[in-house]
Formats: sequence, structure tokens, C-alpha cells
Amino acid sequence: MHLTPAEILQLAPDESSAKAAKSLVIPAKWPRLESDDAAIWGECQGSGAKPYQVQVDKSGPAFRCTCPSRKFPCKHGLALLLLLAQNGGSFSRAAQPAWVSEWLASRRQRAERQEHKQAAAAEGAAAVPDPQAAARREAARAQRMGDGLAELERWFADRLRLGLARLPEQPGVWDELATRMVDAQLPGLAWRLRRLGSRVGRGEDWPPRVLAGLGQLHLLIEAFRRLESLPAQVQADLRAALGLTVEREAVLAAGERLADDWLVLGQAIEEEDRLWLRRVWLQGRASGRRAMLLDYAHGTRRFEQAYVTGAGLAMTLAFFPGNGPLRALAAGEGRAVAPAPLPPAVTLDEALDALSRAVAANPWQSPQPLLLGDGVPRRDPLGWCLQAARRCLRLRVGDEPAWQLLALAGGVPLTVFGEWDGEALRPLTAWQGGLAWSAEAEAP
Amino acid sequence: MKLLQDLAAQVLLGTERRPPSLPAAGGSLGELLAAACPPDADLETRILRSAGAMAVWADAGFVPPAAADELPAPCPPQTLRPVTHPALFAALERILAEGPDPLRFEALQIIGTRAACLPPRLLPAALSLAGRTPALRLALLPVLGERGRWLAALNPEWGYALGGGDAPDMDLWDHGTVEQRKTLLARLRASDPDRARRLLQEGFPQLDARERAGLLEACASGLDPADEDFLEALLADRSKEVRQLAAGLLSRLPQSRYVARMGTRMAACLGQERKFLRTVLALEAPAAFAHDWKADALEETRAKSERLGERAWWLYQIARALPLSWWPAHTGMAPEALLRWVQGTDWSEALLRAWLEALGRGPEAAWAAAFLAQGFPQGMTVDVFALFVCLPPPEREREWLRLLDAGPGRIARGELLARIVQDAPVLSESFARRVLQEIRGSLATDAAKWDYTLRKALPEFVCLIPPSCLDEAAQGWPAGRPDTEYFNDTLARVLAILEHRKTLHRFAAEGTPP
Repeated sequence: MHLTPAEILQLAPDESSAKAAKSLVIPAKWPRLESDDAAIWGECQGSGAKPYQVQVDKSGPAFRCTCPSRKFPCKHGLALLLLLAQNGGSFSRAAQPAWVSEWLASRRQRAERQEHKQAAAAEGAAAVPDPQAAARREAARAQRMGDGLAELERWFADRLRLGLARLPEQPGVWDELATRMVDAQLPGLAWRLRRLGSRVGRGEDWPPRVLAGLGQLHLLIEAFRRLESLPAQVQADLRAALGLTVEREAVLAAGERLADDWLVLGQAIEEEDRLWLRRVWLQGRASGRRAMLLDYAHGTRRFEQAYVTGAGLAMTLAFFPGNGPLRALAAGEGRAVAPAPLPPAVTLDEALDALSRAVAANPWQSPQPLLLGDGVPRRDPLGWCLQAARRCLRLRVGDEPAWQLLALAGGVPLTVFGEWDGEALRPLTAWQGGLAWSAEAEAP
Repeated sequence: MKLLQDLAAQVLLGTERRPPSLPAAGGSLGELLAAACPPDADLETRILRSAGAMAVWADAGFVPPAAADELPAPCPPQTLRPVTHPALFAALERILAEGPDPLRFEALQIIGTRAACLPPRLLPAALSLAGRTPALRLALLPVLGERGRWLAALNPEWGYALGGGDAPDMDLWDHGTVEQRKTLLARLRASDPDRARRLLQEGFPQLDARERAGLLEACASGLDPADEDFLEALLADRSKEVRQLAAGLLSRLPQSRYVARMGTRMAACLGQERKFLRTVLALEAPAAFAHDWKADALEETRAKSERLGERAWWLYQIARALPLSWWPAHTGMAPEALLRWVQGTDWSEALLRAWLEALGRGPEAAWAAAFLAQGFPQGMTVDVFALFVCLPPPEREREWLRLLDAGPGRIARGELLARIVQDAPVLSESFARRVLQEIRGSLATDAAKWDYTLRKALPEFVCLIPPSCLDEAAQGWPAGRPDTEYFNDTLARVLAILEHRKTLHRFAAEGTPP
């Protein structure tokens, strides 16, 4: 594990933690700074009489600290890593004290217990506690969903009768509809409706885009009506598109499993109403498979497991069911391995072919991962784009990161990985020999 | 997408008013649409199903639009080696992001001395930074490399990075703003002073007063006896501001006729006087404002806020136009003797002020030292730091230490450091050591706690300490004590700067490859 200060600060749960951590990078405040191959640990003088015991497991990095902060990782853990990066000489090699070795041992035990539990769950199908109550709940839920979808369908038909031109008069209606879909336990529709609403009136070509979106949602509604008649994998994709949750345990127990050395291709973090969402995109070195780990965090940008873009992790993934399975869960913790040097270069044509196959397999997946090896970042009169084979792929990117991409490329192709939303590519990572650039998580 | 556009255009006004005709597509899309939209389904359903199917079709078959033009030419190969060493790269990234400016300047300069250039990813940040802070440009331009110049050409806001070696853009002289013309004139005065002079003189009378004054200010750089005739003519300019600027510039030319006339006027105020058995220098301010003084931009009436009396005001204006060297040459007295002498006359404040102004024009260590040794009359406010600047470094440091020793009652330590770093001087090891020792020792006092300037000035100060002191400077700071808790942020910043500078100087000493 070798992290630069910038990478370490990416792990901070928020801006104030990053700032607080920087102001603790004072070796004199740390009466003890030690390390071995597995971990680094230290004692930091806080306001109390007893110094805090701070430790970082290098394989994660995973953090632990005795301070009372609710932030995770706390400023002490981050500062310890910053000290290692900036003042490596202040650390002495030592044998692990009990408080470090016990924690590392308990982490190992927990990981083993989890694997046992998953194995046990995989063997015997999880017993349903009360089949009758579960069936009643399921029926009530199906009723609510059916009512919600019928309402939506009527509303769509009314819009067409009255004309799309009147949509811009009702900017608030999308949010209302979205809220009702959340009540109907269809959060996946809520998100799609909000996105559709944001397109109304934007740009000259909004009517066909909005009509396309309405049509796609209509297909989703009709498909759900005859869900039982569809193949199981398509059912799974539809359920995911509507936002119906699949139990994590069920995925870990029964999902397709794949062990590989995974390269962290890129990470996207978004926030809406204090709900943080993170997509970590992985690519298997041996299998070539793409995977996405989706995590949510409420209130703070604090995700249980931190990933470092460009790093390699040996781990087993369990995929959610579906026709083009992408979303996965990590079964147990990963072990850091040397990262794959560079994802294979892909031309625009190849990337578009892969995109066609992915859309054909599951048209509801958004965003789609896109890796492109022959695009030249540039600015044309319409804005930022990647130009490849005399074609321009729009980029959804801020000016500052866009200039960085231009500077790195110097007018020749650059390998870019990002998220394709059907209109533009949001670049997350760029490679040039090695990892050359990664999008900074949007500041909270 | 074309079919979707047609369909959307038809349903803009509503199916109630005008029922649309559904798209007729050929091939497998046509078959799909036909199968999905049986005639017995209601119209809205058929529209939505067609739209949905076409949308999925378009998503799957997406092809980006053709580029409107050719790609701009790629960057020529780098001639300098970009910095790639991870530790150095990380340090540079943080230095650019967090500053302070003196550290940024040093970092860029050190890269330049190793004939390396900035890594491409840091170029946008560096170019934007120097766009806002022109003082950094001198150090940035040599380390931009081919990539940096290539990039700057793509962003009009970074145009400053391109101008370096090229011929000045003469169009700006005819069509530019006053600021642009001023910059152009200053550049031309450095490269081709005769042409700059001709250019300025040609259209000068036609310009308005504000432009005349603005362009004249640009003449302060590279002032030369060849400018004298033009400036002399401007003493009769319509604008008072221009007349005074011209007079000010002429007084910077010791051999000018203007200075000679002022010398004659001053000499008329000096005489010999017998006191006891000695002959001493006597001074008498002018009794009346002579008719030809106005032509030399002297002013008869003084501002309401002026402390000097009328005659002293005239004397002061004459004296300030003279270079300091005039006085020893004319009187045969050394600066210390002159200062002692003037304090015994009735006109001391007028002359002291005039001399301080002349000292500001051209540093004279002997005069500055004499001023500091002599002290000033009550009521006169003097910026001693402006005097320190005229002294050779060891004496300057001695004066700073004297203020430091006088304690925060005389001047707060933060203020003192802020003034010291202003001119980015080269500091000696012993001086740096003494100052840091003093700051460390005083951190727990109330005076230091309320000294907010110190929190900004100390990080800038450690940017200037000699490289040989860096290790030592990081030692001995109080930590973990409640009474210096307030200082943690500043201390962490100071330690980070010291660490960055160590990385930079290891690289400068060729210990690290770029």
C-alpha cells in the first residue's frame, strides 16, 4: 500500500475531516509512531490525559481509533497515513503491541465468520420465518405497486392527449410523481422520473428525448404487468430497474460467484438529499468481467469499505441476478495485490459494440461503463468531448478536470474510463502507461 | 432518432387536436413496431410503445455524431524532462494547491534550475494560478515545457504564457486598452527603447489626460537621459497629474537640467553663518514663491492637511527633487553630520521628509544607517522598514532583531515577520534560528495567542529560511499542551512547508531524479 497525500484525503468522510487531519500532521503530537508489514499504529495526544490509540490495517486500508469521533475514518487515522506519506522517517519498525495484534486478529476472525455464514446460507436455503405473513406482505406490496403503475400509465396517456408542449408549464409535477412512486415502493421509477423531468425544456431537442423516456417507462410498466411470463433473468433486471431490493444475503448465498484479481477502474460518488451513493467499477484481470459495487451512505460520505482507484484487489464477487450481470457484492474482504498495469485498449467501435450488447441484454441499466482507448480529449464549439475515428463523444465534466485531461493527452489518444448515461460520458479515470488521472469525488 | 423526432413533433400539441400517424420503419424495426402496436390497442399506448422501442433501439445503436472539424495539432515532443518522481510530484501538487506564494515560486524555480518541467497534470492549476498572480510567471514560464505552451494556446485566459519570446503585438498600440498599451510600452522600452520613445511622443498630445498619465507611468522602467527632452516638455502639459509625474521622473535623472535648476534653488537657501568661532551651514526657506517655479511643477499653495508651513512647503518641494548625493557634494558634509545639522535648524521636518522621499527613490545605505542612528523628531511618522531595506543584509538583520528583542509591545511578532517577508530577502542561518527560537518560546503567551498575523506570516517566513536550517526548524515546537492548542493548524502548515522544501532541495541537489 503506497498512497499519496491526495489519495489519502480522498478517503476522508468530509471536507472538515480532511482539514482536521492535515492539522494533525505534527510528529511531535505523536509520542508513538510504529509500523510493520501488516499495519501502522501510533498514539496521538488528544485533549484528554490518555493518548488515542490509532491503527491502520494496510490491507484495507481499514481504520481503528479509540477517539470518540463518529466520523469514519476519523482525523487521527487519516493523519497517521498522511504522516507515513510525508514523514515516513518518523515511524520505527516494531513488534505489534497487544492492542494492534488483537484488532488484526479480530478482523481476520470476523472475515472468516462471514464466509462461514455465507457458506452455510448457500447450503441450506434461508428458512422463511412465517410463510403466511410474508405472503400477506407481498400481496399488499404488489397491490400498492400495481396502483402506482396504473396511475403513472394514465398520467402518460393524458400528457399525450394534451400535448408535450404543455410539459414545461408544470416543472414541479415530476417531483410529485416521483414522491408518489416512492410511496408505491417503486424507488427505481422515482429516480427515472426525476431524470426525465430535468430534461424537459432543456436544449432544442428535448421533445423527442422526453418522448423516448416516457416510452421506455411505459415499456417498463407493461413488462412488469406480465412479469411472470418473462425469463427469470429479465425478471431480475426489471425488478432492479423498478428499485425492488434483493436481499444481500440472498445474493451472497445464491448469486454467481467469481474470484479474480480486480482492478478498481474508477469510482463515482453522488449526493442527493444527504444520501450519498457510490459506484465502484471493477474489472477482473483473468476473467475480463466488469462489475459494479453500489453503496449508499446516509448523512455523511462514509462508506464502510474504502477503495483506491487504480489499486488491485484479490477477492470473490457475488453478482446480482440479471441478463447482463454488472452489480455485485464483495464476498469477504479483498486482499491488496499489484494492480493490473493498464486496462486493454479499446477502440471507439469496439466500445460501441460492447455498449450495444449491454443495452440489448439489459436496456434498463444506467449508467453503463465505457472504456475507450483511442479518444483524444478536446474542446469544440459545443464543449468538451473525446474525438475518435472522426466522431465526437460528449463529455460530462467540469472545466478544471477537463483541462487536466487535455494536458495529459497533449492532443493524442488517452485511455479513458467513465460512465455513459445515454447522452454523454462522465470520465472517472484516465490511463497513460499507468493510472494518470482520476476524477475527484465531488466536494461535499 | 429521426423517427422519434417526427413522432415527437406530431404529439407536441396533443393527440386530441391532431392524431399522429405512427412511424413507418422498414426492416426488423418495422416488424417489431408492427408487432408491438396492433391496430386494436388505443392510440396513446401505440405511441408510447413505438417511442419506447425506438428509444431502446437508438440507445443500443448509438453512434456519436461526426466531428465538425479536424483535431488541433498535437503537442510537439517535450524538450525538457517532466517531473515524475512520486514524492516530488505529490509535493508539487500540494504546493500549487496550498501555497503560500513564496513556496510556489521557489518550487517552480528549482524545477527550472534542474532543466525539468512541470508534469502535464499540474499544468492547468499552475497556469490558472499564475494568471491570477503575475509574480509567479517569471518562475513558471521556463518550466511549462512544450506541453504547457501547447495547452496555454488552447485557453485565451492563459495567453500571457505565450507572449514571452514573440514580437510585441503592435495592433494593441492602436486598439488596446490603456492597461494593454502600458504593458506594451513597458515591454518595448526594455527591448527597443528608441522606438518606444518615438511611439509615445508621436500621438501623445492627442491622448486624454488619464491615458497620458497612465502611459507616462510606464516610463519609470528603464529611465534614461534620452528621455529628458520629452519629459522636460511635459512640465508644460495641460494636466497637473502629468506635470507632476514628469517632474518626479526628471528628479530620478541626476544629470537633468531639472535637477540642476532645483540645485540652484536649494543652494540659494543655504548660506554660511558664524557661530562663536566656527563657520556653520545656515538654512533659510524661500521667502516668496518665485515666478518661474510654477513651470517646474512646484506648487504655491499647500493642501489643507499639510503639516508644514507655507515657506517650509516650498523648501520641501525643492529639496525632494534633489538626489541625496547632491548634499554631501554641495556641503562637504557626511550624511550623519547633515542629519545632526538639520535637527538644529528651524526647517528640519521639511528636509527630513524630502530626504526620506529621495531615499525611497534610490537606496543609500549610509543615509539609511544615519537616519536609524539619529532617530526622528517627535510627531514624524517614519516607516523604519523602508530604511532597513537600504541596508546591507547583516545590518538589516541586526535591526530586525533589535525590534524582535524590544518585544511585542513595540511591534507584534506577526507584524514584524510579515514586514520581513515582504521583500523576500535572503536570510542568514543565525538570523532564522534566532527568530524561530523566539517564536517557539513565546507561543504560550497571550500576546502570541491574539497575534493573528503570525498565523499567516510564520508559514511565509519559513519559506525563506536557508535550506541548511530546514531539519532544525522542524524541531522543538510545543505540542500537546492546551495553551498552544490554538497554534496546531499553523504548526502543521509550517511543518508541511518545511517537509516540502526538504523534498525540493533534495531534488535541487540532484539527489532525486525528476
